Amino acid sequence: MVGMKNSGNLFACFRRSLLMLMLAGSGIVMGSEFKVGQAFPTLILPQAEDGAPSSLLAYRGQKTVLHVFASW
Amino acid sequence: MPGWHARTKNLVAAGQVQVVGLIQEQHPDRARLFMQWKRMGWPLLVDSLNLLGVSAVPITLFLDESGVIKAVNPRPEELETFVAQEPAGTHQDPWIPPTPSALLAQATGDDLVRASQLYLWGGQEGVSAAIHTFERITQQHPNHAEAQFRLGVAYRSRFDSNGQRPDDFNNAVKQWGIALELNPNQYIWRRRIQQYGPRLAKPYSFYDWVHEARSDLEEAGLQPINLSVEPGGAEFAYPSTEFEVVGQESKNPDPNGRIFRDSKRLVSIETVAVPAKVRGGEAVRVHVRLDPDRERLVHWNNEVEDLLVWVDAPPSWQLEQPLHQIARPEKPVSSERRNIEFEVRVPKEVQAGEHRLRGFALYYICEDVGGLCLYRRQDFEATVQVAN
Repeated sequence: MVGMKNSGNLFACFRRSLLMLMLAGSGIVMGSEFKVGQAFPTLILPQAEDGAPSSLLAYRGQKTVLHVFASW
Repeated sequence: MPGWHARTKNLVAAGQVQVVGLIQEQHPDRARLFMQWKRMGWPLLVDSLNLLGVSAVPITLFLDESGVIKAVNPRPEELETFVAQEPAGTHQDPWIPPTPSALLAQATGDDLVRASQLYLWGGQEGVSAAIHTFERITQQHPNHAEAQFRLGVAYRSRFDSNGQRPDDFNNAVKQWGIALELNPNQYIWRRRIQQYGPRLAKPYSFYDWVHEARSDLEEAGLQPINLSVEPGGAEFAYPSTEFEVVGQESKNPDPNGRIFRDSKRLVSIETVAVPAKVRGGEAVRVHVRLDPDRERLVHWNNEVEDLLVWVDAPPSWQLEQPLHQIARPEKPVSSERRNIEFEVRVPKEVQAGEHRLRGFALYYICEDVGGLCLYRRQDFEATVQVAN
């Protein structure tokens, strides 16, 4: 990925200082801190292909590799 | 990411693992093009508002069958162990996605939630309604960094739509600047400004890969995914460690201001300086947009000469290039938006406050189909805010 070229620098600056807070039913998360053992937030977001609501919830029951990224 | 893809694609095909992408860009179709180019066919979720709150990318997570995080930024070699782990949790009923209207109906109470959901699910009208709500939040809570950032995203989104209003891009850049001042460690927000900003402040070219991607896809007989908004000059530009200056020998094409002005405003000109605020010694990229008035059927006359833009910078400011030329399309008339971008560097010792750059455009324009065609000049200003 193009963004990889600066990934070292980015990770150095990556501060995840806010507690993840689920707002029931809204699919909105305030801040984030990824920690092993935590549930990934049940965000509902548009699919890139058609804008329809989707979520990581759709992949429950399967082992999932999630890449959070940008094409730059 | 392509490295990971090579490791996971056989496992995905065998049903042993699912790969999902979650992108943090303003324009999701650009990530789709990237994935088409790299033959990465996994599902992609869009988080332009940065609801996830990550402050940098890329991040890779392993999630077990219950959605629990099993690894944060694992090494690719750890994949085999992850896949071999005992399944977690019990049987899950398939998740049924709610409809956009159901999501909107649920979003009551908290203004930030409401505004975010309006942006996500309310269509074009929803974006304007989201702007209104985000504005209210930021007026009441000026230190609410997330609301400031999301307001910027919504402004930029409306700027890129048919519902565009004057100053939308300007407002986006301002909001992103406020958000970043409140949280300077937020690199997703910082990238949003750098995407449109000057070369001195760029970490890399944001979308230099787009041309190569299209060319590779076409060569392979594939139709590249259409982009709703074509990347512009700043998004292709490469970083630079020195402020580069060219074309200083160019002559002002109308030094005495004798060419008639476009007094009927057949063309509207909007300028946006990125970033919204700089310090002495820093550079600004100015975006100049020229739009013929489509309601009055105004169109460019392409049979004569190219559109010219001349820029003057205050004394002691460095100007990348004073004269700009926008090549005409081949067809004799057209009414497309035309953009030029230029950079200036603020002197190290400069008074804080608002500074104005002045320039003008010269163009051949026709009033209506079969109407009068004129050669006109329009003066414009760009405002640069210098901080203490």
